[in-house]
Amino acid sequence: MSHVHRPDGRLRLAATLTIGAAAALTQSLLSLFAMLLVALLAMAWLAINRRIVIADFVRRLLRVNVFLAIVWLTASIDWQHIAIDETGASLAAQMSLRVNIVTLAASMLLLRMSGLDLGRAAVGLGLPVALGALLAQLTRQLSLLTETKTRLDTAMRARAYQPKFGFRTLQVSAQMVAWLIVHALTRAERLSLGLRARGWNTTRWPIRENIAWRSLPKSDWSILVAVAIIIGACLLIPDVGAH
Amino acid sequence: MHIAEGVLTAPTLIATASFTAIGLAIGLRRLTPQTLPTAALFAAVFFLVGTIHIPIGVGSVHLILNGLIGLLLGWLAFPVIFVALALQALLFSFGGFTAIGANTLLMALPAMVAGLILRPFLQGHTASQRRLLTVGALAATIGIFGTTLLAAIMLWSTGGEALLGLVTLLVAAQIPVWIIDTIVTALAVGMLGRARPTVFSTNA
Repeated sequence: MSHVHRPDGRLRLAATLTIGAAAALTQSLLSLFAMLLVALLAMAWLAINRRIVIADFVRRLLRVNVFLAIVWLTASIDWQHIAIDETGASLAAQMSLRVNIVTLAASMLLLRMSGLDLGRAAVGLGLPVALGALLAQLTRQLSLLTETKTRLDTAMRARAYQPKFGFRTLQVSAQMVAWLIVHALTRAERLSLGLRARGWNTTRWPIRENIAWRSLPKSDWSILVAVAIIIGACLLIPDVGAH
Repeated sequence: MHIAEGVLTAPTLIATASFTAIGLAIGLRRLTPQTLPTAALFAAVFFLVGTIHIPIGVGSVHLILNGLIGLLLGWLAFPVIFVALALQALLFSFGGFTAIGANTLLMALPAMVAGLILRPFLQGHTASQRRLLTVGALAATIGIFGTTLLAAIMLWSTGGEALLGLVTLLVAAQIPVWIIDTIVTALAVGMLGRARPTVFSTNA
């Protein structure tokens, strides 16, 4: 178990959203390029100093870049005249930089954050408590339902089932979906009965409260301040293409 | 289906987030601490069905089943899909947090529409197998067509003519997804109607 202190979830989530918003609002390719450069340097620093395995980051980046390759192929080339479409190329370049910036930033800032932490952090930033509680419950129920699905997968493999394109595979998939729903409903009924049997009839949402903002250590705020300074500096870079 | 974070422009993100906020507000009025576990379990089911892949040639497509979620949950589809997408964004970087409003809208709005139109046909205990299969197929069709249409509108509002090729490719790629989702949803609704006839009158 790691004892490394991680900044408060609200500040990490706020920093992620700030970067997402700044990237969405920025048109300048140079500013976006600078942001991406900083994000890559931050990833390298994390990999070296915190010994973080970057394979997961790389996997996430590869996935989004496959989509971006399709964007480049469809938007930047005028296939009728086999020529470069400048408007499309500029749009594809902006998109590529934005997608890579936000993917990298979210991967680093929300590193090792659980669904429970995310729900609490989001409520701390103003999301309705009901949604935060739903997210926290989803995290708990997902692990249990995943076990059920794994058991079903194993049982199907034991009967020599192999998914292929055909009606049989679709039928088995439909059975799996129906079984998961029936299992979820049965479990929900059992949960509800158990809670009522214990006299649980609350109107309170089951979610842990956040620490008061003023109680947060000053070092936690540094993450948000650093993000604000970096974004500000990147936005100040003049756009060479602008007239 | 997800639109990656960073693809849509700020006005599109703001507009879609506003529509999603309205859907969430209506959906959350139907959620209470007592019904929370059921809603969370449906969110977990929605999350998990995305991991079921159907092989096609050298590739595969994964199930969406937003029409089925709409049939089961109606307006509650908004909060349920929202939290499932938030968790997918956290764990796999699918979609992302600034695009969560857009992604929730494109999956939950067709789901809710399918639920509102088709749930009345499944009330009571008398729905025949033919009716169950037809309603399931229609729900999937509304779900996938609605999602594709909304994604195409969002991409068009971002890039206009420049993204026409991408929009065309997106629509074409959804045809096998629509066929597979329609068959699986119809069969699943048929099985659920037999195993738990009251499931479609449950309002989680």
